[in-house]
Amino acid sequence: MTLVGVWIAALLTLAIGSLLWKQNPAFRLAEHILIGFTAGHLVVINYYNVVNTGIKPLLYDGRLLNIVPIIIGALFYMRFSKRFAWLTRIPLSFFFGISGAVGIIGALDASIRQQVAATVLPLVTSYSSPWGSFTFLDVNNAIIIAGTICTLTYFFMTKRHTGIIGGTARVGRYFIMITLGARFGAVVMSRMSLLYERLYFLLHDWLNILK
Amino acid sequence: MQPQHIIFLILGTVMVALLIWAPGMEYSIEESTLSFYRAIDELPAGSLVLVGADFDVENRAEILPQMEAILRHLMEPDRDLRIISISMWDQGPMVMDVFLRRIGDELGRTYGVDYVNLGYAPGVHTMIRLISHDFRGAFVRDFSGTPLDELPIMDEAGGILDIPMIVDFADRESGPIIYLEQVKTQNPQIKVLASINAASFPPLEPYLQSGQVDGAVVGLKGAAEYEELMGMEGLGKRGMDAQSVGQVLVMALIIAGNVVALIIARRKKGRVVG
Repeated sequence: MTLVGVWIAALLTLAIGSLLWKQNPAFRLAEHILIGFTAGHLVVINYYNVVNTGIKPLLYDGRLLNIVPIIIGALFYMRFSKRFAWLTRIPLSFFFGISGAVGIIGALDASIRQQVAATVLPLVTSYSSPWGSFTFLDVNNAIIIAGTICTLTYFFMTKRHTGIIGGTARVGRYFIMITLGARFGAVVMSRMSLLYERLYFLLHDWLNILK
Repeated sequence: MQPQHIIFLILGTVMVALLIWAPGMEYSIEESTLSFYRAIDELPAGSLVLVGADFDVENRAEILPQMEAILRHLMEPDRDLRIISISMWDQGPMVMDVFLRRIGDELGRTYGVDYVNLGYAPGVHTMIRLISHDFRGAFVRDFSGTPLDELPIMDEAGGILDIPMIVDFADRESGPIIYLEQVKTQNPQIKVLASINAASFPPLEPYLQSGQVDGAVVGLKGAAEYEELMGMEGLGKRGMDAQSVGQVLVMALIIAGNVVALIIARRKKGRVVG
């Protein structure tokens, strides 16, 4: 990164960090710059994507079929016209139909069948030693099986949560709470890394205090 | 000064002190990182590897140290692996391009022959399906605008189903999961490795436990572990002290906050009873 780049990045980092004290114009300026750059980047990337993969091959390589997705995509802009806004339903139907179907095909096997298969586990484990063979309850597997069943029961909404179902759902709720705790812990870990990286940048690249 | 300002000040001071002092705390290497490392080590020389750049720059703190160590492993000259990089989201390719070219130049690898960055194509699930048998299904040019026909590496690339290994740098669990759903279901022989930020790892863990994901490097700690395996110094190892103590500090604050809340609640209850 050039010296100018380092200074811009450092000042923007401090501007964003200043929110920790209170809302201020420097923070809002940095926030707007970030949002503007992100949106601008997406527009440029998608513009070149349409030109390179759609329009250029149509005009120069004779790929006439490209006209079909280009017209379907262009129909999205009909929402700006009150008279023809209904035409946006056509690309939306394509979008939902195709992406939904492709997503479900893969998910059925990898995220449902194989994940269900991964919960079909032995509850007991055998261990052989010179003094004989021992059989233990496999605690890890028992937790996985119990956790899956109890959590699924919690989301079983068409039966009142009383009796055995109520007890199982309550255990499921505890499993969900533990999962959320694990996720929160992981998020804290990630945020600590972000803070570390920004502090390292300020001390190393900007102020040259760290070697 | 509000109480939260005191917390921010303590946290910032502690992390700056640890960055300067850097005592070098010890840490163990996770089995998932070892599996990741071994999978690359065992890949036959000359194999193609698909590298996914499925992250936004806001999560660079964890992803970049991972990329530095893992790309160096993948691009070692005697290993002779060839890399094709693609992205399902728009921000990753520009960072990937910088890293591939810098490490490639350092290790004497040639762009277009040993590695290529095809950049971003929209469609997510659908795009991955489109390139099952031919990358040209979604990519006409590489990230720099060179037509694929002018890149020798693409002559033998075929489609994603012909590639034995996918290494996905991701800041969302959906990145590796899409590769499992759209690619590994079609060809179970393909190994899927995930290099992911810590916040996104919990939903991916069941896939690692079931053996669908063949290895995972997780967060800054994963980067530090990989640097250790590679025998190199990097931002991962350097950040472990600050991250570990910062996390202990957050835990201490949560416990202290709950204890104080409990005391206040009891006092209020006492007043009501009295």
